[in-house]
Amino acid sequence: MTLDLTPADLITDDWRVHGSIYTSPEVFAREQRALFHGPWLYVAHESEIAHPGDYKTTFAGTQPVIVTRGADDGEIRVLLNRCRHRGASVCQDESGNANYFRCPYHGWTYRNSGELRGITYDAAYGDIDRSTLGLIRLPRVDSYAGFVFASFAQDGPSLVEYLGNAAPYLEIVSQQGPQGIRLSAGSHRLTYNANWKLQIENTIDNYHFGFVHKSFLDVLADRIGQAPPIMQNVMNNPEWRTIDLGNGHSVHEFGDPRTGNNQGQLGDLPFNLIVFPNLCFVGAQLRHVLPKKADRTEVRLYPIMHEGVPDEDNAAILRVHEGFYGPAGMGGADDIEVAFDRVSDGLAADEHDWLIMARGMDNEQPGENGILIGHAADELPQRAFYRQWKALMA
Amino acid sequence: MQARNANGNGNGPRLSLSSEFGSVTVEVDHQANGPRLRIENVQNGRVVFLDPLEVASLTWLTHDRLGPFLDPSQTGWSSDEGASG
Repeated sequence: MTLDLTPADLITDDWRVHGSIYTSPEVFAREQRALFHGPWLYVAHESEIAHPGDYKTTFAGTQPVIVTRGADDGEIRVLLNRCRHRGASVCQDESGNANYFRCPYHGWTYRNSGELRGITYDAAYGDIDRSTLGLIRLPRVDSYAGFVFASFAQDGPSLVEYLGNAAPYLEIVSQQGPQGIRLSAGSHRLTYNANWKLQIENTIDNYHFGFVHKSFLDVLADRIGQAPPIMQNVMNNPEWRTIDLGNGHSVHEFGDPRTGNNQGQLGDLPFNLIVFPNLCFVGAQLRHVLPKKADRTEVRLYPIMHEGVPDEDNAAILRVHEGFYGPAGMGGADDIEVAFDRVSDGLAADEHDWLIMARGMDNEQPGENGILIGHAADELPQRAFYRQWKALMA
Repeated sequence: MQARNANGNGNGPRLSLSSEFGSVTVEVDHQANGPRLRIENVQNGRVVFLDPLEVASLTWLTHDRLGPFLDPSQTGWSSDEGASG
């Protein structure tokens, strides 16, 4: 389908959102330039590349990248995972330790800081300028509270400016353990045939919980002998609230942002947090949403391990995480079926192609530093996301 | 007399290190008049022996100075030689 609306027309002032936002390859391609090729993008946690020579592979938008820690200088760099010779990906493993990378196609060899170190049977290339043939580096890399971000843009807001009101929440996440956190448990992945933004919206949508996750709540009620309080809190607890943090970021607080708890055996983070465009925190996990195509998404879920606690405490975090979000958990599969697959199925009916994202739009209350505060079940976080989306796509 | 190990050659235990880029075995060799570190490239069978002074000197290396050995045109894939992997 060829899109006959400009991106600015895809979201109305009364918060109707056009279905093509989720289905159009044209919109997807434009997002890759506007959202994923300039703004800061999360790529790693420092604990994943703690030692010189450590690396991990991931994606900046749809582009494969290697996040490395320098062999001699310890500096963190982000390199495109693409051999300068004939385009093969240079690193295949999700993580490893290597001070030099050798492309598996023709053996071109690079330092892990990117410089081309050598070419096999190089005489045939004459006086080729090797100094210009290193792996491409993303021009800006910075960390905040241990979270590593990179940008394709040479210039622009600093990472701290970009994070803005979301920064204090990242600090709180980094302080979950008495000596910090680490992502040493690795990740597990889910993939689905629908748009990446559905996962972002769903991560911070409390409105759906009593419906999509009713079976989980029923099991929990059987275990504890009464209905778990999570939906009562969502609907009636004034300390549970949603906040538009600006720059597309949003949070849902379960009361005090340092000590709150969802009380739902979902993990102990005191809030759900979205860092625009594709970094999420929910339950006890960091969630990295990787767009692949307009109708294809990969999500990597990293349980957050606590530093300075006994192993059995971290094992308990993993068991709770698995219970809801794991491949055999009681929650994640329901989200995939209802919030992603069924929405994707329904969007095929495009005769009247508008969704409604207006819940609570007339009750947004301004707070300090330009934030907007809403009810816990409002669609305020989704609007926070799409305000930034619309500004960047215009 | 040196105790025999599983390899039957009197050497120390054989350790394996592999990544997606390289695969080697490392052991202490006792066949010579003094101990040597024996490193074998599993991918092509090439072997190097390093004496204790040589190994000690390696601790002065930066990874950058090791660079010439990582240049494939100087170590196994020279235009003047055939492929050796």
